[in-house]
Amino acid sequence: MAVAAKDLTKDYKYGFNDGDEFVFRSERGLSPEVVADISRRKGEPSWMLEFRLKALEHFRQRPMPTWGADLSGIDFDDIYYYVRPAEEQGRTWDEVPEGIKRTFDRLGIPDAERKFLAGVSAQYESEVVYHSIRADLESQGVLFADCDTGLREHPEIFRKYFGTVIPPNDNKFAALNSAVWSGGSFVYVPRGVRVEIPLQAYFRINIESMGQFERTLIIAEEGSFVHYIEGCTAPTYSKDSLHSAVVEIIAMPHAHVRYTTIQNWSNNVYNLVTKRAIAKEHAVVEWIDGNLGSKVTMKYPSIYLMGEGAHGEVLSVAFAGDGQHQDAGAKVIHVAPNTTSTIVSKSVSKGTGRTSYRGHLKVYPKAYGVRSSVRCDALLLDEKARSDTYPYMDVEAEDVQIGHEASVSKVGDEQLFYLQSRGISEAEATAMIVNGFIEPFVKELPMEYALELNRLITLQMEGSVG
Amino acid sequence: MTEIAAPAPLTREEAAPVALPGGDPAWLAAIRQAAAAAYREAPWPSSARDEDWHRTPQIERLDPASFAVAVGGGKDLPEYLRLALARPPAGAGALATLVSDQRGNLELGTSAPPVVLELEAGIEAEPELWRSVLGTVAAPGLRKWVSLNTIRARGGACIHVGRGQSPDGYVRLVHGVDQGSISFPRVLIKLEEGSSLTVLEEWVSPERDASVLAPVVEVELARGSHLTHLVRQTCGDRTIVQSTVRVNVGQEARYDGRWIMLGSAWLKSHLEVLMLGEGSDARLVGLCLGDGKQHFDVQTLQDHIARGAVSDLLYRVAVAGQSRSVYAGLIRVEEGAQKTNAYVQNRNLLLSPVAKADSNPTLEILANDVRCTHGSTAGRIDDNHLFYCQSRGIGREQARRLIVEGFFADVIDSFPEGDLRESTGRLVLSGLERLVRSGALVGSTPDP
Repeated sequence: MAVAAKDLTKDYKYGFNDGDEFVFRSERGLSPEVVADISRRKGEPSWMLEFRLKALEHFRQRPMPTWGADLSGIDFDDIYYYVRPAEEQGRTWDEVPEGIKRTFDRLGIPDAERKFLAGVSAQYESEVVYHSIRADLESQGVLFADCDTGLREHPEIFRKYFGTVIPPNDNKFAALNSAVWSGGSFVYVPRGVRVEIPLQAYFRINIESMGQFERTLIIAEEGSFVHYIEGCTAPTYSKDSLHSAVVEIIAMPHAHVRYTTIQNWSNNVYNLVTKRAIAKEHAVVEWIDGNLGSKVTMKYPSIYLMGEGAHGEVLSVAFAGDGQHQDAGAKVIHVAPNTTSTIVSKSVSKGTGRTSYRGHLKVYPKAYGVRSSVRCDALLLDEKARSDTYPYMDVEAEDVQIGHEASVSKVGDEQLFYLQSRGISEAEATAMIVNGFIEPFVKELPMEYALELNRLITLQMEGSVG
Repeated sequence: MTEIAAPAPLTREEAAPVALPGGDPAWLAAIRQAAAAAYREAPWPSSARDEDWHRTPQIERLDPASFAVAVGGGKDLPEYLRLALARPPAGAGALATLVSDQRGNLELGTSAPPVVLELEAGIEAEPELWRSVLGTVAAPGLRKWVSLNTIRARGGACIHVGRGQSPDGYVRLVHGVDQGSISFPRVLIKLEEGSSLTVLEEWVSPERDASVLAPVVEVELARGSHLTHLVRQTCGDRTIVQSTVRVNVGQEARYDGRWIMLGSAWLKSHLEVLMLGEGSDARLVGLCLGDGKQHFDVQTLQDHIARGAVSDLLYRVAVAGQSRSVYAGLIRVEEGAQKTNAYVQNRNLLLSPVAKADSNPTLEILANDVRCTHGSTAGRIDDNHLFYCQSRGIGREQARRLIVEGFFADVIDSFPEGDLRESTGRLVLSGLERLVRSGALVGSTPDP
């Protein structure tokens, strides 16, 4: 019996739109004037303006990548590169403009603030509107602000690390971000400080043809610990949006940084992100990466294990529904000896969706004692779904143990039968199995995310069996 | 065999076709023209631009014009070929033995018509039959080296087994090259319904001879047929090998491919199996042993077009000295190829601190009711295994040698039982002996 597949957008909880409310909007398209304008309005020092202009130059010269997903739908001239929703940053909820508060009410921020959060930087249209840090964090010397504030109030730290992990000429989209970046989080954790409660941020794209270019910089000093969570939602539009973020993480010796993302952009967004961490001696960096939304995502969180004994982990989930292409993966570069890494990638393709795992594991000649394991599993739910796996392994040292495994299959008939024979419908059974398939990922998430993720998966599963 | 008057030009830009001594049939001349056009128009691969040449940069330096071009005449037998022919199994059990080098097939070969004929004789005898294979299984424009071979093919074999036939004995093909030449042997194999055959190919050349061996093997397997295809490459230390083996596997047909790569300075080898018929089956097993500055680049493709096919690949690599192995294996499952079962395994053993192993198994899956998996490992000899041997009085170097032998054991065992397996085993052992002599098995880390 055929059941019409339910489009995620029809039932999309966050598929709403506030109407265009903003204070300043840059002209459409990209030029040195637009970039200089952005820098001037932010009151940035001249070195940052220079940085932006050089990056713009590189962006213009660099050709589009010839690999990966199909990016032909992006029209760089048809995007607003900077929109500022309010004149100044609010300190508490009371001070935030009503319209924006309404938006965040619907996203559930006040509850979260009351219960779990240490501080929230909420980004609306490229500018951080609301930002608060709890007293105990401040007293520990932890800095958690938006990047604009970071640059303004902590220029020495900011300048020391900004652009050092991902230089503007790293790739075309890092160059774009470096030219027009705005907002994003700046996190600095001093020596030995453990931030027990996860730091969170929300993003939104609202205006049609709006681009999001937030830039996040996280510095964890020796022996510190921090868990940063990034989750984003965006309303549905007919015109394509571009999200090109850059995240840089520096984990000093014995530091531990965990960065969790649930990306749930609506199905018209191009999500092209460069995320990279440097791990020094005995540091630990974990990327927990969930890719559920967007029309096209190209994202390969990477870890450079620069110090002896460092450990890197990437745990990722990709879900591609009709017309989506999740081209994600992980890169781990073992430069120092006795470093270890684990990559686990789970992907699910439904309808005409396509998931691709693209990974790079490199071991340099002097990196002896390296242990690494990579595991990619893919579930294909429908005939027209597609899954690819492109793992690259470059091993140039001898004393290593490297393993890679990948498998692609559909939901097992025996598993389905087991559940159905106990009175569970095929659709429910499939949802259960898919949720079980991604369980290693879900159990690493804070509870409200886990619940939302499970619900989203179940939503996706409805209509996937006919 | 007639003499060829003047060698036709062969440069990086242009390759003039060379016809069969007796003249090309029209269809072959047309294919050669297509190949010449493809060769002229296609850019040379570049390690900067092309994904599958990224880790093998030698291609930029390779100029076909710098190699001596063959002239006709195939009477005398060079020493290296004589030694290769005398090597076990030395023709025992062989149905036919064909020998070729850059001059073409040599007269001392023994064909076995109608099953086994030299390339030229075969095409002459049954042009319509070979028209359905040559340039069809491997298109003239598939890649530069296939184009070149199509334009200049000289020597090789036409092997045709009729319906239901299973000839006794195996077919032995020896392809050589020397005197700094380029050799383009072409092997065409067609097995009719329900037939079976074993073919042993040996690729050889003398030491210190900077020559190029560029074979192309095209195989067409009809319904229910079974080909066991063994390739043993023991070329000299300065030879370059650029090979393509491409197999169309029909309904319920089976292709058992085996390869041993021991020699050559630089090898780029393409093995492509196309599962065209439902229930087709391909089992591919190979090994490579590298030392010195050898470079092995093996690319495999398992393309599942039909439903319900099985393909399984195991490739074991041991690299010592400064040698390097590059492996890229694609399992591609086309839309509608349901119930596919495909597997790729690549195991890399690093025997020295500066040896390199790159492994790139990939999957492109467009059908959902499938089982496709791949696995790849890289590492060095386990200290525990070494200790186990040494604690039983086995010296360190000997222990390492035993472990590498054990590492390759299942590849050797996958060869047909009897002379073929035994002789292959001994060939690999002599390869290991070479490593022992060069000190490659001493190992770098101190005793546990």
